Amino acid sequence: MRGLLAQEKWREARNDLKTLVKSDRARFLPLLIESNLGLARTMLASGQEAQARQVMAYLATLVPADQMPSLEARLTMDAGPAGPSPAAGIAALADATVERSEPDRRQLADHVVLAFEPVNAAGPAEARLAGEAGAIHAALQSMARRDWAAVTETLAQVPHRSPFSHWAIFVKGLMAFHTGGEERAAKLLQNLPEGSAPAKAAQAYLHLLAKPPAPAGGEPLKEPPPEAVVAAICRLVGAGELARVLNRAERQWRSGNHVESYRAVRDGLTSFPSAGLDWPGLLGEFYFKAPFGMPRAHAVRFLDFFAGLIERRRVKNDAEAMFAHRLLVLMGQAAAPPGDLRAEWEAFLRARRAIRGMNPRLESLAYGWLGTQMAAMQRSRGFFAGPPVMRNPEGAVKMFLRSIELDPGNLAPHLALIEVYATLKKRTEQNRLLDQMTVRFPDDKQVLVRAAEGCLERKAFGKGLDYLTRARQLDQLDPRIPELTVAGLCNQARQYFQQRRPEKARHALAQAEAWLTDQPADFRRGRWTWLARHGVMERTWGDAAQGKGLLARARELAPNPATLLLFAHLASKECAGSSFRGETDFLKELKKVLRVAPRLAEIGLWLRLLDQWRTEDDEIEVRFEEELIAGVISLALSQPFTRAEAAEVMERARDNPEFERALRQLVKKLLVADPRDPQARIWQLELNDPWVHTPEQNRGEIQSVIEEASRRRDEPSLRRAREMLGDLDQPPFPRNPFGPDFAGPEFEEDDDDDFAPGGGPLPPEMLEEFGELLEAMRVAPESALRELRQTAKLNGMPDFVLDQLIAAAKGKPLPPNFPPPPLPKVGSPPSAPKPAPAPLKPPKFDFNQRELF
Amino acid sequence: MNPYFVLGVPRDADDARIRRAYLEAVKRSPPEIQPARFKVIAAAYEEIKDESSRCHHELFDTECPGDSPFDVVVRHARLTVPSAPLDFEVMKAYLRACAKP
Repeated sequence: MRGLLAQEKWREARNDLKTLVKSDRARFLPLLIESNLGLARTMLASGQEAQARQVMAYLATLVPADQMPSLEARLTMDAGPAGPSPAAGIAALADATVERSEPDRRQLADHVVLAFEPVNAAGPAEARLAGEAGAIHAALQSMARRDWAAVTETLAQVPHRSPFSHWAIFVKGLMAFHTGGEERAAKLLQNLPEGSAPAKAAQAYLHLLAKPPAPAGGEPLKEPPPEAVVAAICRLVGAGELARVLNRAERQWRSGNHVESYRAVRDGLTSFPSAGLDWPGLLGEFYFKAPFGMPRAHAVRFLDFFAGLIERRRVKNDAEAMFAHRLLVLMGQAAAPPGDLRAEWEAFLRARRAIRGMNPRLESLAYGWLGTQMAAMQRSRGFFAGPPVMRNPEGAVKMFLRSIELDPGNLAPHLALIEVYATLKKRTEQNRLLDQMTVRFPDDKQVLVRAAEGCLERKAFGKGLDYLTRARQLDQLDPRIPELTVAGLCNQARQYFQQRRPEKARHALAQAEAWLTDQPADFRRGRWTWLARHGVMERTWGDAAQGKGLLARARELAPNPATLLLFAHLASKECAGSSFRGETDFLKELKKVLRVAPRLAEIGLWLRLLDQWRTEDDEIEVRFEEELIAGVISLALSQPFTRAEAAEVMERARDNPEFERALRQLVKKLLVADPRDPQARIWQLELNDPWVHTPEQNRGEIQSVIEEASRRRDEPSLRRAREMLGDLDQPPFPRNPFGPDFAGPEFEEDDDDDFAPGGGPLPPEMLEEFGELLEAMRVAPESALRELRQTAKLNGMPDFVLDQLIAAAKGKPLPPNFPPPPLPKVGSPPSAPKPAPAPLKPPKFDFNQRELF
Repeated sequence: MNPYFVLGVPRDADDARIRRAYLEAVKRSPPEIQPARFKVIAAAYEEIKDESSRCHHELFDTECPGDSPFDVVVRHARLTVPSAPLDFEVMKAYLRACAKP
């Protein structure tokens, strides 16, 4: 019997139950009532109102009269507005002869309100109740119009003891909700009687008032929301059809099954993902941005799913293709080979164009970004690890030019391209572009300053100074402009002196005087530096006596005599030209001064001076001066010094192998004074030879440094140590962001972009070069090997590594796990017969002519 | 949150339309009455106020609009529902749907 009811076979169930009721009324009467109600509901749903009334009339013969209104109310709520008139409900509520429980009264009231129909009252009691129900309807209507005063006024007609009072509370709660009274709204909505219709409707509002679920940083969330709440909220936002899919997706997401969650929405919503401003669009945005905040392992799985869709060409629509390509590029930008990065990014742009049309400004930005990725500096790997190199300079130039072509008004790619040209030392292209930029962006200070720098570099002083004057009119506070002006005027003066036009030179120097400062540590605009430069120039080309006087004045203003001597020596070298290799008088004097131990603070100052000189004039060679300074650091350590002074020296000299020994002494001294000093321990770790110590060996020490730095609240050390630990913890990510294969024709263009110095197996060219190197080592004379050792040492390669290579070249076996020998070449079949090496081939290059590292 | 959703403007809206929508949204949620919502509105406006910002948002924005699919819907509802009561007919349908067993 219950089976028939469960299958909603009402008529059959009713016929059977009619018989059964006769045998056991108490047991089967409730089921008979259920079957009749179900039958009436079905009839109402199919528009058979008259038949439904007959069923209800039959039901009235079975149950007591006072229960009928409740049953009618149930039928109304189940069937919607097409059900019987709410007049019966009002009549039942008004009937004082029948004692009713509160839930029954509320149910009747809910039935009347939800009917949303006017009730013709038969008597004064019915009229009062009908008026109260009407007041609830009117209040809801006023609320929809945001007529809050009318809402309050209308609800005043519903007394506290009315059976509709919980509806009045509900409406008041909604009013508070919509007018910003969140606490009041929560209080009112929480106090609605359980099980009533307003209490059910309030659930969604209460969820909106509650604090959002605590973000768990991508970890699976606990306790999915009740399905009823999800359904209510979906209804509230007008997306009732979303509830079923959302419930399923939510459960999967909270279990950490992100791909399955995506699949649930993808399969459940036809238009998902969408690029529009609709629910599929909003959910799509969520899924395609969530990986950026996920733990790595989860994100990789998610990315693999999309990479697989693309690879198998199974994307659902253009929007999915667009979002997936974008996601893969932005997540894999650091590790992807530049060629793949470009192919993927262009696939994103193609998909985007198909949806939203061409937007040159957006595409210019997109290509500019791609150029920036290719212009990023990264450490090279392989045998010849040296200073950071640009990821793909040619690719970067192409991308920036494309970006400029798409939107000539986009300044960023212009500026970035200038930097790439500067790195590649493509002066002609750089200057041509700078000239174009001054025409395209005549009122941009940044452009004018950069153009001025370019002019000063190529000794076009007049033009450069003119740009600086224009830039100063745009921004009088930028310190870079007066700095460049002083440098430009001093260099112009030097040029005039060289041309034997001393008066013009002095005039230029006099113009620079307006921009000087009295800061002793300002090497660009400090008065003493200007006096020293002028003095050196006069001494070299002009009036020697005047030069001596100027240098004497500079000595009074300089921070100390040694700094002045170093500065004057560098200025003299500059006057003598880049080919000068001898010792200046100032250097001889400086060597005498340095016999007395200097302070570490002075050494920091000199290193800063050398840094600055190197930056401003890349032709000048300061290696000799660095050796000199490195040699006196050990002397300086005998003098007292502060941690800040040590930090300046360390930061400025750490990348220079000349200073390695001296810096080790400095760190040792710091650790003697304070063995747990986190900063000194970090420096010690950084000075560890990367060829000898693996990063893993340092993990324990880094963790100990983090603890100590936390205890001392040493934020900079803590940050650096965490970065170091992060470097150890992060493998290249993702392993293969774009999936295993991109064999389509659109991915085969621009093979020249594919070399990735940052990762992957060594390319054939490098292996070939390695083979040539070994061959050359085999036959090289000892003098050439000596020079090779010096070069290798300067590039950070320890002696023992080079010794092993030379030994291998001369026929001794390489140690296990050493970089692989060059033959056979990559791509050749392993079984191919190897040609016997020629016995004594002449070297393919001269070690003195070719830079090896 | 998606700034276009927050301000209720289409993706191809121009600067003037976005500005208008922003001012209307601020009028509905003034900072002194609804400071949290005002903050969201102001942030949304900053993200799409001119073409350059819009392009940048479309290409590079990685801020996820929620912590889970349901959270996205709730956050969106928090933002849109309180500022606009349901239309009377929609409210009727909603109440009837909620009352169903």
